[in-house]
Amino acid sequence: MNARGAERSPAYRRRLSDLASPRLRSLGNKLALLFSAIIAIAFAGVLLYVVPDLRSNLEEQALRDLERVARVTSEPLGRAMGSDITEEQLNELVRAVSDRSDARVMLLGVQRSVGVPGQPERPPTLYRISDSRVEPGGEVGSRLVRRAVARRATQSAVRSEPEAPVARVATPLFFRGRADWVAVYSRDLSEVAETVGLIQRRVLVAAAVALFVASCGGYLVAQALARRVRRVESAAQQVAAGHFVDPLPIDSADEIGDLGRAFNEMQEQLARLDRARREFIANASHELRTPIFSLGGFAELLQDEDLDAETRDEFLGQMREQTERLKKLAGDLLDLSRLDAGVLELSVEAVDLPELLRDVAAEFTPRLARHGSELELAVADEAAALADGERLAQIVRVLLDNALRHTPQGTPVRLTARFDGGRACVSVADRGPELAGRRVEHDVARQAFDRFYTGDAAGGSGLGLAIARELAERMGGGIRLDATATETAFTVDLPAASAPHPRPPRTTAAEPAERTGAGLESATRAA
Amino acid sequence: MASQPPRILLVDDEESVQKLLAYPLRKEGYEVVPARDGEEALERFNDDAFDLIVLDVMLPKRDGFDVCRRLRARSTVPIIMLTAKAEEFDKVLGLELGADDYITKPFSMREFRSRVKAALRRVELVRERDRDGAGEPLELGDLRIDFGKRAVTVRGEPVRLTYVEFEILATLARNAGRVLTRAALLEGLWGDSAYRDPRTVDVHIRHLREKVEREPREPEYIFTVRGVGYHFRDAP
Repeated sequence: MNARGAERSPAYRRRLSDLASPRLRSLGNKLALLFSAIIAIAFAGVLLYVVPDLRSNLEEQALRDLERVARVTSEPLGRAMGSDITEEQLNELVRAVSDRSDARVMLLGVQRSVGVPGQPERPPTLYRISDSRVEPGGEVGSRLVRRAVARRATQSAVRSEPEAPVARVATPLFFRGRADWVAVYSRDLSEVAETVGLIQRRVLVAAAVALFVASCGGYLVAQALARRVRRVESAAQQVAAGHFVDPLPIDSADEIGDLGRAFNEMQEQLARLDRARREFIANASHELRTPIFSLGGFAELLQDEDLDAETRDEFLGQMREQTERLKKLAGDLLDLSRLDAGVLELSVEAVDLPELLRDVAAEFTPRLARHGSELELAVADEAAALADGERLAQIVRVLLDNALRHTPQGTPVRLTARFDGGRACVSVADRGPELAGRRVEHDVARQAFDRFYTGDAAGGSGLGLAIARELAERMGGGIRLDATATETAFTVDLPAASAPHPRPPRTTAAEPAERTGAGLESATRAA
Repeated sequence: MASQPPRILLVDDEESVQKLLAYPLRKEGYEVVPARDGEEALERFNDDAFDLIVLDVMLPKRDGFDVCRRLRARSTVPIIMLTAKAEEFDKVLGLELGADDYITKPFSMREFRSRVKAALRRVELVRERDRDGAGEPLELGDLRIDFGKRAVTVRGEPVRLTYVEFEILATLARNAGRVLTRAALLEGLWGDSAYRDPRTVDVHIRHLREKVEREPREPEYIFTVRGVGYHFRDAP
């Protein structure tokens, strides 16, 4: 428990610190950051590309409008310049045009110098004739105007000024084919700037709001997710620390729901294994404790009591039996642990069944004599199986021991080997008159191979059949229990092998045995 | 006792344990009847009268707890349970089912012998006391204890007590007002308090209260003296 406590404490402490300061690297913060970043990038795109684009579009639009105005109004202006018109009237006209076009209108004259042959033509001088704006100002000889004069065509441009950009259109006015005047229209684009500024501000506000909502939303969503993940996490920690928890509630069909489901399944499986392990340990310790208790008790009696020779011999015999039992149990447990770990080595080869079964049967002669039982051996002559001989002998020993242990004295036991559909089948069957009418319940047939399952009080650790089944399966075979009212038969089936070498038919020294079938060797009776 | 040796039913599925435990009992002159499983134990018990049952917990067919419960339903014969597990669970469960005593395997033959002797001595003691007349029945409030008949009634209703429960109640009642320690109660019960877990007294007391007290949490008859033991209500 202490070790467990120590194991758990770092996680526990971590959780405490989590409570104290929210994790910076939590899912919530990550998701909130990610959402914010996406929003920030989107709005930066709006501000850096869309807004300038909008501004230039609007400016372009204003410029086109001004150009249109200039086209419409420049003609009457040119006509007026060509006619006799007083300065007063001209100013009047310019102001009128300005009012109509919603632009400052400036009328410039073009003074060309007389060209000197051989010398480059000097640029013409420009002078102001009339201006719609009262206070003077504004450039007279701007590049735009000069270009208009030089190209004899309308020129337009937007020029940024300190306060606001200004759209300007310069249109040469023709009179008798000469462009002696230039009308310059300029319109303040502060409205555009204002509009764009307003949009910019709105976008910024929207960005701020969106950022806030995104971070909060992301954080909250992630919190909700994280809470569910943490539920799984803390449950996993509990299980890791060896405490099983109630199944997690599965309240969604999403991935976290799947995770919970998988976790519940895992826990169930672990609990099953844990139960099996506990049961195994409890059973094993019980199996160990009983002979040890007996040994201790008999030793105490031998030491403390004044025993007659017969009792002493009996006690010593008991002690020896218990020692044997412990030895066998230790061997069985070792076999099981090797089988479980998959490190039990088997050398599978063609095994001569008649020989092997006869040898094992011979081992049981004294035991059979004590039990007053006859062993009938019926083995097909050529019978050979692909198996590990040692282990197969072990299985047969287990089955014989089982048969003798669970039947009354004098019950005949039959040991047979035959081929059945390409399989070599070795079977141990007992059928005594006392057994007639005995019914082996279905669950006994199923449980018989469970570890530590003992059907009655006849002793035995309950490991033999479990080991026998594992061994048979490891050798590519199986073992089954067929129980009828008159007979209980355990049958091991193994892959058949052709006999290593043909052997002459054997005769046995024992009494003539009944023939159980053609091609079967005569049976041996050991009794 | 002199006329007939005590008969003991020894229930254990292990051949060797049967032999081991039967020897010292037979040596003491007791008659030992073996039973190998729960069913057999119940059959034997039906057929014969016994002075003591020694009952293993791990039994095939019907486990020791079940056997104990069934025996207790029809008899007050002392039962000693043999448990393989030392867990508190088993002790408490065994006692709750009405076992009078339990021994945890592995135990020494010496301990086994002393337990069996104590249990039989107790039976004898009770018989003598019953023969001699155990004094006037005690009446206190709703509770009536007839020491001679070993009968207890609460509000006129007879109450079934196990052997040990009755002994504890009787010991406390005879010493009404005096505080008895757990060890003293155990000694009164078993002759000595060696090998005994004083906490088992608490289990018996709990059961007694459930059977005798109107409200076990606020007892009227059996009071706990924290850190010392128990005492019985002194006269009304």
